[in-house]
Amino acid sequence: MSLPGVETVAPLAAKIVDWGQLLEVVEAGLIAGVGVTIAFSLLILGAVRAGEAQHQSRPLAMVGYGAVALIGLAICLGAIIFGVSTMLSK
Amino acid sequence: MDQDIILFIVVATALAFDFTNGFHDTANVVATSISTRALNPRVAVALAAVLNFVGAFLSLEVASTIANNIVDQGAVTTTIVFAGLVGAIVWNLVTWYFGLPSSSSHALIGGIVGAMFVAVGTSAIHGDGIVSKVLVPALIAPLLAFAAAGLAILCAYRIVGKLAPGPVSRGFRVGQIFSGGLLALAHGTNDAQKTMGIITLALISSGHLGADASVPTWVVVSAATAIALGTYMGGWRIIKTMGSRIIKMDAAQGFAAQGSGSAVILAATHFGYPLSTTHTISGAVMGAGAAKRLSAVRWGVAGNILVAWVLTLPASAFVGGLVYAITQLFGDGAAGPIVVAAAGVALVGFIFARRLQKGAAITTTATEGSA
Repeated sequence: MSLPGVETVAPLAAKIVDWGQLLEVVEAGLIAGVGVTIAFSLLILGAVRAGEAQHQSRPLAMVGYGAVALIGLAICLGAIIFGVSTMLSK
Repeated sequence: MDQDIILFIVVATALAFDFTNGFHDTANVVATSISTRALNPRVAVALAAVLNFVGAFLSLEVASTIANNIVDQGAVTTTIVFAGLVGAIVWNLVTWYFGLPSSSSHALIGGIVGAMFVAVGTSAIHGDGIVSKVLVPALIAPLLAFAAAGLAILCAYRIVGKLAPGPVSRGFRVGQIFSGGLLALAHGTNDAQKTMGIITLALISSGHLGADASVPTWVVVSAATAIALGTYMGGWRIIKTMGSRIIKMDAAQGFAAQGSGSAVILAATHFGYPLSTTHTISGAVMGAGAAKRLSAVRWGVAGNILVAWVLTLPASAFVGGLVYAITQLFGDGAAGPIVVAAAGVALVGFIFARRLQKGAAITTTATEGSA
């Protein structure tokens, strides 16, 4: 047994709200929001650990952590470029 | 002649609204940078002002004015726009006084809907547009930002948790300069556009511009200047609420809130679903705090903010409708808007005079001192 009014409210809500678009927004917002912070955290981790590896004369670790920092930096720069281009196009 | 006077008052009121918009929403852009000491308060506010100014020039598409999808544009008059703007300004000033971040866009929509309701009735109000363009995004924005910032800070702590705190804090503070800058640009692009749209709408409805005219350069420059000046003046009361009264945040939380908030806003905008900057950043600040520890969030303050959000539409609609009704007491001419505008200017002058008598705004000193 359904609640009174649900039969009329549900189709109305479906008509007014584009749930498919809303789901896209939630997915994109979560991925972008969490992704930017993860990328920047990796940039910090890579930079700090690469510096430590350099002091301890561990070239392989330095290159590895340096690469992690560069990947993080590239994602962050990509996010900034994406953000500015979104502003320009809307 | 009457129409020209009303148009002049509408343009001045729209720029005054733009000023309060920058003044009121500065907190969204700079509060976390200030509270984590990523930037000196004055530098943060000046940077936000410059980027808000630049942001206003980035995109000149005025297709979606604030009234689009919300009310019947054919029924909009300059007096309705004026009353709506006054409703929005009053609500912005009330929420600023109590230090509560609320959406300036919602205040403007509420003001115009209220004035339209009194002027024309419900037939000119698009209820489905209000639900899909205002109410649903108002629910989605804070929840989405809360979840994104919460997940983001948990991931960040896991990644950098074993590093020395000094370099981590310095790194996140540098990151906040960029995330805050992106937020200020997005804010300038979105919010200055609304004022440009309103002024253009008034110019079209008064016959000074054709229906398909583009935004005149003086409108772009004046709207950009008004929002940048408002931002530079800084709404310190709200900055204090956003920066330190909801949660005491560290640099990582500040970055997670600003970075994930900006990303959520821009990702949503990319899909044609613009979200309120205020709602998104407030939700992100709460999410970044709650993920660390639920009790870290001052839920009483968060509750006050939620109440302000719920009240924004009806309260600004009430003032907008009331102002329209008052203007009509003086007939259809320019007398009504002149009387209301003069009363508004006198009231603001009185408040500033009293403030000057009492000395500088204590909130400015308090915020700078605590940062």
